[in-house]
Amino acid sequence: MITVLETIYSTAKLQMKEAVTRPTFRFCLLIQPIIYSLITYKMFINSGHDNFVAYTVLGTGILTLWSCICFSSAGDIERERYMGTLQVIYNTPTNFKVIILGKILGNTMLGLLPFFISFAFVRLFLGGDMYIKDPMAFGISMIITIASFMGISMLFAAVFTLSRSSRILMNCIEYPVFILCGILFPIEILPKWTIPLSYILSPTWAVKLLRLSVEGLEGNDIFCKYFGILTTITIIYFILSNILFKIIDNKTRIKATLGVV
Amino acid sequence: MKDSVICVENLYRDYETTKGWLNKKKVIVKALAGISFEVKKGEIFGLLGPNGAGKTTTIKILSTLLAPTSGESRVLGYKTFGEENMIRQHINFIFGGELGVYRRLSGRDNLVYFSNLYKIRKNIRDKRIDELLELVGLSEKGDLKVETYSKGMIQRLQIARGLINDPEIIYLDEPTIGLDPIGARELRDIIKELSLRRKTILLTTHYMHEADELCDRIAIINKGKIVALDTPVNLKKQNRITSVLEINVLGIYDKELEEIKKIEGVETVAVKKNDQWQLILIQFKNTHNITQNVLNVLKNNTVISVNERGALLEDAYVRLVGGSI
Amino acid sequence: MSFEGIERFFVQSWLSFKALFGWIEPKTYFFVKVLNPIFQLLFFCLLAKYSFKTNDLTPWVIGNSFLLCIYNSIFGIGHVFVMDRYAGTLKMIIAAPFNKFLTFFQRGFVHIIDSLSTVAIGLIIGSIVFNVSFSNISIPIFIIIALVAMFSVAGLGLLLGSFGLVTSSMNFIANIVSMILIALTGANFPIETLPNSIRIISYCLPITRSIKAANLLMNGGSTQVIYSLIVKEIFVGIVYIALGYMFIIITEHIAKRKATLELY
Repeated sequence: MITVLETIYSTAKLQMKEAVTRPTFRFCLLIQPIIYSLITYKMFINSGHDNFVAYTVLGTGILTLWSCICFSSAGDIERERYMGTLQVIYNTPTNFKVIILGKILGNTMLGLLPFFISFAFVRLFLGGDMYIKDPMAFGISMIITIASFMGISMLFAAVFTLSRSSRILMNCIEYPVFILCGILFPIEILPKWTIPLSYILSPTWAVKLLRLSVEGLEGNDIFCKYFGILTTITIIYFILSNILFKIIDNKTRIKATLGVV
Repeated sequence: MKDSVICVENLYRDYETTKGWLNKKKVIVKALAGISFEVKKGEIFGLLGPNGAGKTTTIKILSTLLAPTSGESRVLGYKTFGEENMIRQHINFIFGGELGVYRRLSGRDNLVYFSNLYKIRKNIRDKRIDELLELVGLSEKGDLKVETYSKGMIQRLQIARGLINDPEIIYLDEPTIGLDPIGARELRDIIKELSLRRKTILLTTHYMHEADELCDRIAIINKGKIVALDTPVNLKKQNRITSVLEINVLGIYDKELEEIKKIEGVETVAVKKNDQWQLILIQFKNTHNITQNVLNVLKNNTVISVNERGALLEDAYVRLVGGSI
Repeated sequence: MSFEGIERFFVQSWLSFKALFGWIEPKTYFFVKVLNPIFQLLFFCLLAKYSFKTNDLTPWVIGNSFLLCIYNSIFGIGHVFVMDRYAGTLKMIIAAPFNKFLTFFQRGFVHIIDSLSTVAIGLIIGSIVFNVSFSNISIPIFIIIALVAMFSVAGLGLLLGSFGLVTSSMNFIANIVSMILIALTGANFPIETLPNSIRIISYCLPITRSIKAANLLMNGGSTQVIYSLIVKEIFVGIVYIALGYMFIIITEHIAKRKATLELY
């Protein structure tokens, strides 16, 4: 077990070192949160919401985290293939899943940076201020949010590896998730038929939890309910991705149709 | 055989692909059509053959990256598919070209990372990385980013990477491809050095002189089958009664080649294209003297040079795989 | 230009378009060039609906539809020379006798046509989803405004494309520029709320005036102001093209004098 954690840690470290040298990732990490903050701040300022800065910072942070996942985790296997390192890591005694999990952890850790960049930008350049009513609940929410983003990332990495045509989708899932998961506006303004889609996507619940703890809990009931749902969905994502990675191994080595190695 | 570390028996591997765009049809390509061989511990074993013969497929199966369609493939006594976890710790592979390492990281970072994937303890790791950098002559450049390396340096880093787990068996897939003569020489020296350390090496290459120099035994594969398996010396012996006529000409037609093939004593005719002229390689039984007959066929062509020599490994190869070099 | 010249122009233009998007199958094209722009438009319009608490989303539908040309005009045209860098043909282009600027136009032309279709899709879908009506306005003038906007963004694209001669991080630059366009052209929030220093940037950008003109048209504003905005927008486009042209000439000059062509 210790060695698995060590591998995850060292992969995450390598991933971070490598990712920050990529211009597109730098853009996602540094420039995008600033510009998104500016846009959302300028738009939310009219909303009449007294804690709109929190919406801006949280929204921007999660948007960017999602972009990092789209451009990085989902594309990482493709990138390794391109660099010729895929077959090398695939062939080591370390389970391929563990390596991918490490990469995703690295991306997610970097993907948290935009929360701070957004806050600093809004604070320093736009003079906005925000509060978090329940820091403790916020901390817990943040942890489960990170875990659930890793879960969905893992799932996407597997799906994109399995199907060539879904890889095309990689470039197109950014905005639909922004919309469906209610990252900047509540999903209640969407048509009814899209609500079930929102509910099966973990970011929807992550956003709900984070907002709830920012605004302060009326009682623990709703918080616990959302927390439970998010945890369940996240576990399902991990189970599904586990199954998919088994299929990947099978398809790679028996059918040799994936072009993984 | 008791001391065999690699046992391949009647190995088949098919690939299923689809052909056509509108009417998709399943096509089965036989990459390996029943090959068998064994590699002994400490041996350098060469796999030669034209592109698409099945060399890389063999290496992929033996390095646990691919499952056999049927037949047996065992490494260190374990099945390469199903018992791969017992094998992976003890093997590694190196392929030619500039891929296979993280270019945006330093050479040392690459090695640290891969040793973590092989679960090598830190105290062993750091010492081994220094040794490997020394072995491949990258001690001073170890902390520079790989993207600043030359082709040859990346290739050498690949070697270090391939040795990071101190493997018992090393697969080398065209390791010297694209290297300059000195770089290739240095690489061959490293391979010899590894062999002295009792490492088992399975090597594929396109360069006959390389195989001749390095390999203890050579299997020549063509169209998924082994067409010859012996020591380089014996392979050349098979060709003892053969001589080779090398003729450089400016332009040659298929019709003329056909006529040369018909000359008594001629066994194979192959053409190597250079920039300006063609080199015709004619293998013939040295009981015959064919030179004059060949020159008669070529009387309308500009012949630059004619040279007769004994058979090399390359000629044995040409005979076996039939004309293509 | 002779007939043969015209034909060559179109052939070259189409070939270079294919070189960039050539790998794209119809399915991919649909996802990347139709579906994704629609979602981008929906996202910003919904965001506006929520934050501005309004049901009249006309300005956002128009502004964000105009912005959809970014994919072609900034990413597409911006990359005209980048392909050559990878393929190692940049040297040949710089050294070639024909007018580099014509090469540029040849390569950018199909992108302009293609971006018009994306903008049209955005406007149609946006107006259906958010009930925007074009019935009371002069459609020809609206089309002229849209064309002028495309022209002016293409001008900026050409300037970026000329940077492609000297930089290898075009994707990074194109990403930044496209985000700046989304933020500062007034498509999503009024630029009047920006600090003076940043507002200057807004007025230097393409599309800003077109969006203003289109909104004026929709609200029945003064025709005179609309026309003057159109003329100014054309001027912005020309300035960018001129800057791109100058950049190419200067780069070429420096490269020849310092013999740094190899660096390309």
